[in-house]
Amino acid sequence: MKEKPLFFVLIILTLLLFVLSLSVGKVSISFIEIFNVFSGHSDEMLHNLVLNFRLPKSLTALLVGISLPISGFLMQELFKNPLAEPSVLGITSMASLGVAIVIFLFSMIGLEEFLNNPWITIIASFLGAIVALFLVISLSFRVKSSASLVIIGFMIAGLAGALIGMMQYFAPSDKIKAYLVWGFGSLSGLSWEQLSVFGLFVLSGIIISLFALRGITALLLGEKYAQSLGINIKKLRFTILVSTALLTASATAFAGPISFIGLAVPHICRTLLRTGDMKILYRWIFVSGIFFMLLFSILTEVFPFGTLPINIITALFGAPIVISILLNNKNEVR
Amino acid sequence: MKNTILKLENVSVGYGSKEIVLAINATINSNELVAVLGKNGAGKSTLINSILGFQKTLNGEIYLENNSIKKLSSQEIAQQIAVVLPRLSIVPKIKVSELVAMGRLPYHKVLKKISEEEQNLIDEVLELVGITNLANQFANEISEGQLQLVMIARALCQDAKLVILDEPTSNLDLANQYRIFNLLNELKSKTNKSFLMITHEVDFALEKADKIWWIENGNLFENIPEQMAFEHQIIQKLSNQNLIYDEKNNRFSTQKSFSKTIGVKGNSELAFWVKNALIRNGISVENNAENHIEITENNIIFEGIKFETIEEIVNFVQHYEKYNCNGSE
Repeated sequence: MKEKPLFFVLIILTLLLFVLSLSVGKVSISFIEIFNVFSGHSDEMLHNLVLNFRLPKSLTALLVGISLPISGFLMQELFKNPLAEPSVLGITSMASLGVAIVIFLFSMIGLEEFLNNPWITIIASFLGAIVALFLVISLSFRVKSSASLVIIGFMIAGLAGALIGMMQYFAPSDKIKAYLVWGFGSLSGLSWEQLSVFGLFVLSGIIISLFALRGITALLLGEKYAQSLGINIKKLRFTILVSTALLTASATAFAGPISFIGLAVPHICRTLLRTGDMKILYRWIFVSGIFFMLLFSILTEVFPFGTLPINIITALFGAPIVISILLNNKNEVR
Repeated sequence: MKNTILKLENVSVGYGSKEIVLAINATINSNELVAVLGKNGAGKSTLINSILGFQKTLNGEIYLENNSIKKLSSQEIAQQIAVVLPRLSIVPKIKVSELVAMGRLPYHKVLKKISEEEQNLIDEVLELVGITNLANQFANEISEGQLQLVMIARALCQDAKLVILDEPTSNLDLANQYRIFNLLNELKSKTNKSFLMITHEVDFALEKADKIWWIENGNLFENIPEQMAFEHQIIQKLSNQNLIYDEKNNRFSTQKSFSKTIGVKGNSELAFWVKNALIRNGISVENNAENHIEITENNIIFEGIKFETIEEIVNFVQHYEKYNCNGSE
């Protein structure tokens, strides 16, 4: 099978899904009506529904679909660990800690009214992720192997988990629910202002990630061979950490801790393509990530008993997909 | 005239404050095959890591064609030195052609498509190494011997003047070891490259190398193989209480515990293997010895006893010796 025509098909399917994601919901909107909205020939209610609710949700899915799979891919290649994903470096956990601090502590010290401002959780989660990033980057200069870095990431996640647990133990139950709901992840509810900030972070993370492609190609042969091919491993590690931090921190801040997608999409593409050309792999992961997030976003809407949280859908449908691809391809994980 | 490709000037290498190799001087000229010999832990790999710039030298200067290695970026070093390691830690699931093409990475600032010129070089190298037929196979589906040939091809594609091979045959069977040694010999005459090889294959080094670097007790001795062999430096230095060089039989054996010698009579293939087994177990075999083992096509006879297997006769000779020596061990 040729790769290029298939990739073209994937792009077409993804575009179709994007339009479909605008049409599916509690009120279904036909493709013609959507076309009318964009050409300015629709009534105000429909216009409002598509441009201020459906489109932001689809764009959020798109941005999450780019950022988490790409950062998962970079981490898997850097750490040579098929289980590596954005949560590995403790980034997701520290983002959760930031949110937990805001939700639990603000309510305890009487600053509850601030919680109504949506920027508060976004900033808290982003700060948490950035703290994790600084910890990991500064430690990365002191440890030699990437494996130690993964262990450090797990330890940071453990510490954050303990602190969150401690706060949960003492927090009132309505606040615990608010925190748990954030943990389910959500693609809806972002304003255009928030979306543009999110988009800016993803764009910069993606641009930086492109500089890592040569390095991760060489890393296929292991760190020593990569060095012999002129790759500066510490510089490469730094590039990947900054890029993944921007991508993961922003995705977690704006959409909550969304699991599975960052781990699974790179696996699916790698197993199906079996290529050493990281440029091809990269563009497949980029588009497949969007494809799957749009698909999952649509799936959250189709259940008869109301909209399901995105995190439940990603795992519920994603895990069987990965298992079946692994079993059918007989190419075990790299 | 031969140019100097690599020059070590008063180089000391090691880890932290622990110096392993001290103030050594050595050179590699163009189109030379240099074999690095020495015991495990002598510092061979540490020296190689320093030449590659993976590890800082503790003292002295390493020059790559008159440029100090300290002033070169890792990418510049990669354009001048290529490496083949004992094995790949993880074999990537990619095509052999893609793996070989990675040799071109030092020439690209960002990930780029291979140019037509580069593709011609890759095809040439694949043919030179004799693995054109493997190009479309997956690296994880070929044998370890073939994979090592692929890694050599990748190193050649790097178009570096010096190729460093760190025990390239240590994981391979005998046939593949010979294939790689012959290939290196051929490459030396067909390309204009120099090769620096760490190896434990003393026979190959003495026969094929232009120069030997012998590393011992922090020193590096540099000489032509004949001189090394003539002075028996290598052979003596590899010998210790567990490993003895048997000059009569021209081979190493693990122990020499018997004072007496034994003769083996017969010219059959069986006789050859019995002799081999005796020597391997530390028993000297000499034709004018007092006692003889008679060996015909299928029979082993010693002191009037017929033995069924080689193991039995070796066992018997070991004990026979001990009884005769009144239990002195």
